[in-house]
Amino acid sequence: MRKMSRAIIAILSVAILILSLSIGGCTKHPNEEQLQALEEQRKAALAAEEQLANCQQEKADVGRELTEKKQKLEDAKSEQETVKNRLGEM
Amino acid sequence: MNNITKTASAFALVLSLVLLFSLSSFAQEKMTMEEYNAKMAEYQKRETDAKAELEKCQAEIESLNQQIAQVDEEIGNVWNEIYSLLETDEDGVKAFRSTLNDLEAQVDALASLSPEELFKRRAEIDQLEEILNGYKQSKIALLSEMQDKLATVEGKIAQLRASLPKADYDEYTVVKGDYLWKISGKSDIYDDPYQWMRIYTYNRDQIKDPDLIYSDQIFKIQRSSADNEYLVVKGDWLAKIAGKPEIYNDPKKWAEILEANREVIKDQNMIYPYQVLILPGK
Repeated sequence: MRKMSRAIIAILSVAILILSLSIGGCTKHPNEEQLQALEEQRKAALAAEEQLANCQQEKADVGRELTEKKQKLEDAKSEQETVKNRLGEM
Repeated sequence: MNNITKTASAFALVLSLVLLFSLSSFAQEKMTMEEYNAKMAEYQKRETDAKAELEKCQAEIESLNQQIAQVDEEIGNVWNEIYSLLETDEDGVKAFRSTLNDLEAQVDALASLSPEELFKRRAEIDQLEEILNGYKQSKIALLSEMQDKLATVEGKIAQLRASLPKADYDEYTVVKGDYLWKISGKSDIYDDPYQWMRIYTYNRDQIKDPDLIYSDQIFKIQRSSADNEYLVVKGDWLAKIAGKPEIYNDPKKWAEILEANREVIKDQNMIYPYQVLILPGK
């Protein structure tokens, strides 16, 4: 009986040991170089997105400037008409 | 021996269990190759997409800048046509603007004077108005900006005229609660309570005692001194006044001044700033 229980414990230990090693060792993981490449890719993506955000901000500013210029053009045309009318009244 | 074997077996079992849990949890924390590949693909896509959008965005900015340059040119052309209509150029308009600003500054300077000083320099108001009317004849004055400025200056000149005293003196009607110090301190009188003596001595025919004035009395508020009047300033004494070239040019004539001003000079050695003295024979 004693021998049997000892054998069971020994078998169980070996089985658990094998199971542990198989769980930890069979899965494939990226190595250091690959992780470094991933980090660089992440940084590159973020940098490109930041550049895009800046560009979009600049585009909005330039768009506003164009709107203002168009308004100035309309004002100048309106002024031109006014001056013509005033000259006619002189 | 039996016990030792049992203990060793149990220890091996526990160690195996610990190893199993630690390895399985480590395996969970560490990125798998599938996850790695997915992340890498995601970052690559994000970079590619952002770069494509960036290129598009830069092209749009370029296009907007071209439009701005075009509108700028159109604005310049319209203004050149306006200048041509007005027979001037940009520099001419700038010079006109500057001239109007100077004129406005001169009007503002007059507006900051006391009513008395303004009355003395009232001829300048006419001059400024004449200059303003001259500017109105310029074609450049047809620009809306200049019309606005001219209207502003014209309004300021009208305000100046409204605040200009009507004569060498103004009139003030005493109301209940007034006293000379209070009247003198009013902003439209002298804005200086210490000049109460000026009201008193200028209205000596009405005020026998400066502490006694009555409602509905009408006082003259001197704005400038007539030829036969002298406004005492700090440091004056009768002989000094008489000795002034524009008065008698003779200090000995102080007694004549004293005689003419007996009502307000009780002691020949005591005269006060802001007393208005009559100069006999002038």
